Amino acid sequence: MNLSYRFFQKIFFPVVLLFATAFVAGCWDYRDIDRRFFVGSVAIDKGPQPGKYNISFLIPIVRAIAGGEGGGGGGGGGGGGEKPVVVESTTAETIIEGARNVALRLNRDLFFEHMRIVLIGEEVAREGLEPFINPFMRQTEFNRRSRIAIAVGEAKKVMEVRPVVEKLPAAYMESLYGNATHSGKFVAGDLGDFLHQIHAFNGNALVSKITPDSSEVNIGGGAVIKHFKLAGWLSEEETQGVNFFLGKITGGSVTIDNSRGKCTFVILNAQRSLQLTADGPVPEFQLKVNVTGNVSETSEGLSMDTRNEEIIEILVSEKIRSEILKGLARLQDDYRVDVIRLGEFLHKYYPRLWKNYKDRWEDIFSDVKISVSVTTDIQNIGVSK
Amino acid sequence: MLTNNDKITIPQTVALLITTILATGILALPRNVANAAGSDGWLLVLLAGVISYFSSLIVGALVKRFPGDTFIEYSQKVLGKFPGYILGFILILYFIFVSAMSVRVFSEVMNAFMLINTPRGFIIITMLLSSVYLIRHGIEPIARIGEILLPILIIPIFAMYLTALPRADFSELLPFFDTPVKDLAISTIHTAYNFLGFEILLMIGPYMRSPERVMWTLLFSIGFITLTYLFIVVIVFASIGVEDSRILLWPAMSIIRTIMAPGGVFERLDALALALWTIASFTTINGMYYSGTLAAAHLMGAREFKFFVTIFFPWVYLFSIIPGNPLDTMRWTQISGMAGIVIAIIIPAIILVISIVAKKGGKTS
Repeated sequence: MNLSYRFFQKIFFPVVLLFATAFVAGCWDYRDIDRRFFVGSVAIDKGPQPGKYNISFLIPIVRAIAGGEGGGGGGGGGGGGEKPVVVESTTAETIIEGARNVALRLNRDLFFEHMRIVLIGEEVAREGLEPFINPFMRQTEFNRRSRIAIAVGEAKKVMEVRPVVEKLPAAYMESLYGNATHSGKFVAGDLGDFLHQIHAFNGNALVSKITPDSSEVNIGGGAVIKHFKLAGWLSEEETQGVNFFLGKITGGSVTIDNSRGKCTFVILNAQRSLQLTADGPVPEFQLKVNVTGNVSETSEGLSMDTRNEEIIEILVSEKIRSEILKGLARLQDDYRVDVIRLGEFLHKYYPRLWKNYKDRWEDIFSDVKISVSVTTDIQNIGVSK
Repeated sequence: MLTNNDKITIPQTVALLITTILATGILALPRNVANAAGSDGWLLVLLAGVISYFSSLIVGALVKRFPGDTFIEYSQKVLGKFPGYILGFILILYFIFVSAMSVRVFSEVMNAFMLINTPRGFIIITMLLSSVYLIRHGIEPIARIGEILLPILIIPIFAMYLTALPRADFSELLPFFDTPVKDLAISTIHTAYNFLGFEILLMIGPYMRSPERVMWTLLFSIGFITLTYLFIVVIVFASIGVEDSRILLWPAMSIIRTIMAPGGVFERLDALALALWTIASFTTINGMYYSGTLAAAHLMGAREFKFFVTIFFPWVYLFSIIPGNPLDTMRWTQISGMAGIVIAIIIPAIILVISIVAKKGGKTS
């Protein structure tokens, strides 16, 4: 055999083997699971000085959770009194700096891979989000699937809520967002959606609103972000209206009330279609919403017949229409910000037209005329006439 | 003057071409096309695929015209001894450089998404060592590895990105044809970089068992690559939108982290994705590195190419650590892309034209 082959057999291959045994077994990125804190939530609040933030991390204590779930039997009585979660706060200029500050006090690494929700305090949101939202994009450790919400008041207060129904507040809050089939009165979207809106619409976004209570949080309503700054809130009704406009309704209910009695209509599905009807200096749109659902509850004595069915359909349509109009009015007149993606609609379907509006869109948007028509179909009425 | 009598079949050639072309460049592709043409980005991929196919026909024509010869031989036959020698040297340099850039991008992705603290040199050297081990065994094992790895690579890629469908919003692909034609034309050239890799045929052409079917081989390989690219770009645009694709360094990798398969069965596909990109990079490095060593062996008139595998190892490593950070890497991959256009299209075209005019080569000669 030639020299090269001998070199390979006698020297190269053994060296590779040695190399492998030395390095393959260990790893630079080896981290024990018990050397990590799995941060459930991050809260950002206004700090003592301008430019500084109070950053809080919600950290579940695995030992306490495991002890509690084992019941009285295991753990030798250790798990009982321990709190399942702790909140660690620090003052820092950015989130990453905050996480590093906490390292001075906590013995384990903060690990964000499993973060469930980002909470942003109202005051900070009013000042502007752009200084601190970038790591959610830049760092791979932050998951684009986690939720984001603007807290009414201080974000840390939301973190300090200890829900009665669940042990881990972060998991509790996140699972609330899975309730889109039960209610359309909140903004369902994750960090990925939020970043997408921020980047695509020039810093405008519709984000979830979260209101803390002593042992519960409420995610009803929405927060309107205009140029990275919180412009204001949407009420639950307005949020449902906007969700109808965006075609994001997959559930929820509408209750109507007239002289004959009450009726609760449970929404199963809503289809919407948006059309441009006039393209003058100010565009005009027509929105058609078709809602299907069940009549789930009526006042005693209100029996369902063809006539009542029609009346209920008309009344439900009216109610939904008024919700949509309320939401639109709030966005167009009060906040004057396009988070209902009309600009995007024009950009996508009428790119040439959009070029005329693009630069002045903010002024035009509040004058845009949108005619709304709603039709309702009753699918089921239960098993009572 | 074949140093190795092994020949590869047509399916093996297709597998080798596809796996060589398909590299980690695909992870950045959605960003490049989004920056160049916005929502028309997918159109760019299609155009670049068509253009690449027609350009690759030049290489194909050379393979058919000079059966049994590699680029090293026919460039000397056509252009004369000395210019051919220079071109051969440039070709070696190019292949070594492209191998270095592929392994570098691979280590970059690994560092960003999984092995955050692992030294870059370690990732590069281990990757290169496994490549060196394979390449020393010649073309036939390389092609066979390509054949085995191709389905292992392609099927999971499609399956993985299909799980993003439930969240996809295809209106992100609108507006359609909003980019000026001039911009489209210029960016198509840049997008064509991602289709480079077929130039390995300059070296491995004579190893094909039936070189007369090289055109079909190219059509199938590049067509397949175009479809794969198109699929990934469309899925990425529809899942995270054009605007986010512009910002993320490797959008095709970042969307993996937003994917949640129905029922939450596959909640975290990062590990699978990185395993796939490891395969993709490995096969690309194999093709490029092997072509480089083969070119060197032919140029020096050496009987054995294995010697050069070992010699080039430190050079590939040294080239791969030139860029300082991901931004630098991107600049260097742009340069290697431009060089690739020259090597894969312009130089072969010149040689082809001269050989036709001067009536050199041809099947009968």
